[in-house]
Amino acid sequence: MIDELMERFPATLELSIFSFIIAVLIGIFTGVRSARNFGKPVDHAIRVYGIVTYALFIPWFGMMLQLIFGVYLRWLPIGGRADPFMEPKRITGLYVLDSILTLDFPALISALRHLVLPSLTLGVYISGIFTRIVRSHMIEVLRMDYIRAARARGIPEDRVVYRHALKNAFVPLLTMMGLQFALLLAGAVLTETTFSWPGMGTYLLERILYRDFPAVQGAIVFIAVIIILINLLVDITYAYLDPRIRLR
Amino acid sequence: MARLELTISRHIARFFARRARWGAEHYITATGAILISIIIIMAIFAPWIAPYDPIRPVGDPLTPPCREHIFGTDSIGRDVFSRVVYGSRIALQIMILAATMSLAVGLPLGLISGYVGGPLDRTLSLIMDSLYAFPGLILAIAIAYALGPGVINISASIAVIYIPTYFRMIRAEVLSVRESLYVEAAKGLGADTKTILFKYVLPNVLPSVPVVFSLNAADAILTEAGLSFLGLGLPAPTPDWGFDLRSGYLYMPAGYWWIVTFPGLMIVLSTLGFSLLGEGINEILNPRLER
Amino acid sequence: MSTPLLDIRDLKVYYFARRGTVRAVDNVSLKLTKGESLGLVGESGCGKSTLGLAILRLVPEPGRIVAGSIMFDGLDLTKLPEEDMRRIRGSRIAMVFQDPMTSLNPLMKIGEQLIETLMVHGETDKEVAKEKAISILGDVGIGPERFNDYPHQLSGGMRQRVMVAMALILKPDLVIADEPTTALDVITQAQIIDLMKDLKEKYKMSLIFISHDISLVSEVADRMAVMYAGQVVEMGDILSIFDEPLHPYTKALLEAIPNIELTDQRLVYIPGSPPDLVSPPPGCRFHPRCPFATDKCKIEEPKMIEVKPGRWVKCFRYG
Repeated sequence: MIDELMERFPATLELSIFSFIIAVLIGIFTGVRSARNFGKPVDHAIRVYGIVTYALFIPWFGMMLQLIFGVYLRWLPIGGRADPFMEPKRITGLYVLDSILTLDFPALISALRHLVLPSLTLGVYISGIFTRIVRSHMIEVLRMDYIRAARARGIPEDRVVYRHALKNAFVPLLTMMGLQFALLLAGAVLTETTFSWPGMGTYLLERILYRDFPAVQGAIVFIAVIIILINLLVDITYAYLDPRIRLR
Repeated sequence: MARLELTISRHIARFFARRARWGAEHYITATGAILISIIIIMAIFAPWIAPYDPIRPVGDPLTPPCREHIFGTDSIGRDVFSRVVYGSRIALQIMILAATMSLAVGLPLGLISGYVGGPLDRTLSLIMDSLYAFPGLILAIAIAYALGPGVINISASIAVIYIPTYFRMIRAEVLSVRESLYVEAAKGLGADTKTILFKYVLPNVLPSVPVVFSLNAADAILTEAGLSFLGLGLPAPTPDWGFDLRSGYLYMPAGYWWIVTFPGLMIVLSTLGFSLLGEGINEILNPRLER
Repeated sequence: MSTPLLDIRDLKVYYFARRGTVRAVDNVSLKLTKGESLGLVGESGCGKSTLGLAILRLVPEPGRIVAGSIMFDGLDLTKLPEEDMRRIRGSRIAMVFQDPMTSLNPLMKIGEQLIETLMVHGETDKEVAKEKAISILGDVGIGPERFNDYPHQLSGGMRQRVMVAMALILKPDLVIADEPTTALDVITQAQIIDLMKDLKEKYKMSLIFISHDISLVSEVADRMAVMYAGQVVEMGDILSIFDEPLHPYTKALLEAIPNIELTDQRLVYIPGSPPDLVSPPPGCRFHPRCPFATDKCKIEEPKMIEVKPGRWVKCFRYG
């Protein structure tokens, strides 16, 4: 059973990583924009975006994307991790990494094409929460004295926002976003089901369907362990990257 | 006669003046309220709004939206629009049940735990924190699997996700009041600390409850839809939005879009309604300080 | 009388908050000549900090410059485009803030922060910038071995020296110091004051020294302006004011200074509290706390009068 889990785990990991990156990028871009324009229409629009994205029921949102890009436009595939017989040789289980390592470019393209829609679905869904986190934190940081002092030295506003405020906020932000990993996993279950992604989520449901109680138990314990590990990792990273704590 | 005109015009002026002072948060709340009202009306007046019986086939299967079936028919020939309308009943039922259960269990537990303290408090807090950190949907899946189908069971599985939220909220309030209360008691108030606790704690917690309740409701709709979509929800042929997504999914790659689009859209709009309402009320009650 | 470096006329800075409009700076006029140091004295909330920020156009939302002009070397700062204003900040007018612990970026080495100030104003050679930075650090008494330190590795006094260095690195014409020593202990305070006096001499810059501590201001400044409730109530050279304070508020401030030599002294204070700047008292704003208030003071607002050349008061007792 452990083997089965380990077989499935990289699939979920790969999906989670790409979704997380998309969510972070969207979150930072919108959150910073929102904080800079506090109270103005852009700010309100972005805040509404944050609320709307959380309401985008993942299976529905995924299906809409599948319909548009997979069925009508036929640009992207709607299921699976790669085209048949195009899977890269298995080293880590992460198709993108494996295909790069084996210089198997057709496999790389195939893997990436299959990743677009699912990670977009999950990524956009999570980005709403990240937007809120970034916005809230950036508003706080932009109120700080050293930001005002930086402006008083004639530092251009763009530089103040990105090199001073965002750079300082980055680590706490990443931490807060990392703590949302549990949400990411929950969303992954729905995403995997919608996109026939052979990961831990689909494994869990499969085992439930077959009434394989010990496997279900095992999967849940596994998930719990992962969450604990991620939270631990996040704490350690935070402590490491803050020079105030590091140089203690 | 002139006096009546004066009063009327004064009322109208006040109505518009109040609207003019509306900020974004008011529009957000209003939108949410409107969405929710639509859903509620749909649920209450379903038999009058839905043109057909949602459970029985009433037309040719897989017909696209047309005049007889504005949302088309599904794979068995049931009218999608009727199913969508009736689906609101189940969604609202479970949502209200789940959210109320969370409140009913979480609030008292938090109260007791905070007040009694000691090993009971420590154990409960540990359990609650673990539950809180665990992915919601997966938790619901596990419990739904254990309990089996049925409206009450599903609601209970979903309720468990939000119990820690209420627990922590009220426990924090109890603890902070307890601090100040001991100071008071030391001064010789000597009154019945139990009733004072309830009199002080509940009024402080109460304003936050509607907001949390609204947001939990939104999340509950999503979770219930998720469970149904995964096959752990209510059995057929009950009209349920998540279930329709599941059954319609098989036909989606062939281009039969209407079976999944409309039920899913309802899920999104209902969730949106409660989210907007919750966020809007939150902004109105706790306005952010200006820079 | 040479043309003033800084000429503020009828300046009004208001904060438009939800609870009302706070009239933080309400019709203030003052001049500063080149090489002069002016002390700006007043209680907390009298508007002196806002005035300092307004000169650099850094008044935070929801505050705005509502009326008046700030002439700096021929330019009206209230009307400059933002990019031009940015170029002036740090290079021609610089500011030293109150709390050195929070005014320095905690995650950036102090050397980097100094270099950045130079680069942002046109210095392209990083080596040259680094040399200038080390040089100015030396001027403020910080050795080059500290160049790569983070702010939390320095003491409070050293941090404030770094702030002074950052203000001076581009040799500005005007430095505004907003309560630069309030967050420091008394001994460090004295060191910083000495430092500022030395540098003032060395770099021949003009200084606006903002403080609530009137005795501190007297050590650094040539002239002084006393502010109350958003307005300047008395202005003149330091010795003249200390010898013969004209405005009742100034008198009370001077009386409130504890004297270390006198034993058996009760602490003198001014009764009442500063007015709410959303709705200040009518007439003379000081009248509720003024021992000399007449009925006229309660209704009419006195004008600024030049009692003697260079000595201004805003009080009916003088005209």
